[in-house]
Amino acid sequence: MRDMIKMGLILLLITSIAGLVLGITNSMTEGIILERAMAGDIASMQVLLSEADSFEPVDHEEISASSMIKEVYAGYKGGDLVGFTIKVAPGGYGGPIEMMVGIDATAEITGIEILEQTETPGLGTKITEESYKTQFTGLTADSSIAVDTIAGATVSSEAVNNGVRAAAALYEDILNN
Amino acid sequence: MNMGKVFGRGIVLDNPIFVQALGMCPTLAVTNTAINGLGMGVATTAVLLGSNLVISLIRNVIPPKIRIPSFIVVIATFVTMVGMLMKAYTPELDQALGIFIPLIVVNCLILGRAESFASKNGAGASIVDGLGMGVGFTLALVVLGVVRELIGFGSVFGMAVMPEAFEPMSIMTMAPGAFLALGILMAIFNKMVYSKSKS
Repeated sequence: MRDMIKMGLILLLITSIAGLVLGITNSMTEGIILERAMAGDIASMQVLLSEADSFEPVDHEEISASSMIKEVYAGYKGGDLVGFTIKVAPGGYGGPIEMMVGIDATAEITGIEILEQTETPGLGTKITEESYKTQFTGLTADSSIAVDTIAGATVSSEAVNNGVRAAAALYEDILNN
Repeated sequence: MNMGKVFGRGIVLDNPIFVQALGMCPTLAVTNTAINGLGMGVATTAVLLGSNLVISLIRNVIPPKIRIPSFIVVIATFVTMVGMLMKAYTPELDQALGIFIPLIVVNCLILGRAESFASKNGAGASIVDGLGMGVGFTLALVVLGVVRELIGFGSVFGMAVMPEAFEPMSIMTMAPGAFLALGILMAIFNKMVYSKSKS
């Protein structure tokens, strides 16, 4: 019995120290990680809607109710609407793929950016390559959008297709009105 | 104890991949490019150094019955730290390796060294052992990555080196290619090591 209590206490001590060390590391890196993610988001928005000089978040109950659609920003150039950036998170092979779709005021897709993904290195990660992403550029945003899947990465490419379709559907149903 | 021997053993005679065949999951999964192999090797080495050091320091405090959970807590702590640091400072590599960073926790190489070396030896020897094993692991991953990247993508460390006419064999970038390359490299490595040790 005394042995058990002793072992429990030792384990408690080890895990508490581990928790403390992790807490310190987390507070050191948390800010940097968040900052990077934010900077990445803003940079992606500017790439997708290069004409826009200001971005405003768009609120709609359909957006907050959807698990697929994360954030929508409207891009303006001197007060005129030039398009939207829609952040979506379709389910990929190794978890959700966070990506951003740009759609301009004429319903044309200006491009997609992959923000965060945990796909299989070398296969699913090909969705982040320029030659793949640019296939979407210039397509008209409607709910039948699909580009060819990557060999060996069917699930990941289908996920990207799903994400773009969700963004297009949102544009057709709500943003365009 | 001869430190040079402890260090060298991890690289040649007890090479974690080519001889002990430990940690096969990350080995097969991430070595489709040389840079991924290098990143994985360095991350694993960092965890191995930390866990070997801490475990050798606390080895006399831990009762034998709870040594495995204690080791795993120590290892998981280092893996999580490495994961956070990579996310903050090397986001590209973190993106490329993705899920395999947290999975370093279950790399049996690390628990294996904790159990068979760090829990029986002092801090200095354990660091040397961790370094030797880590370097051996990294070298093996890089060699495997170079071979697979060269045949599968026609490049080395992202630079195209094959002539235009070369048609990349994409099977080498997938799991079957990993097994093929690993098997052949293992055979070559063992042939070289054993023919040397006999003479």
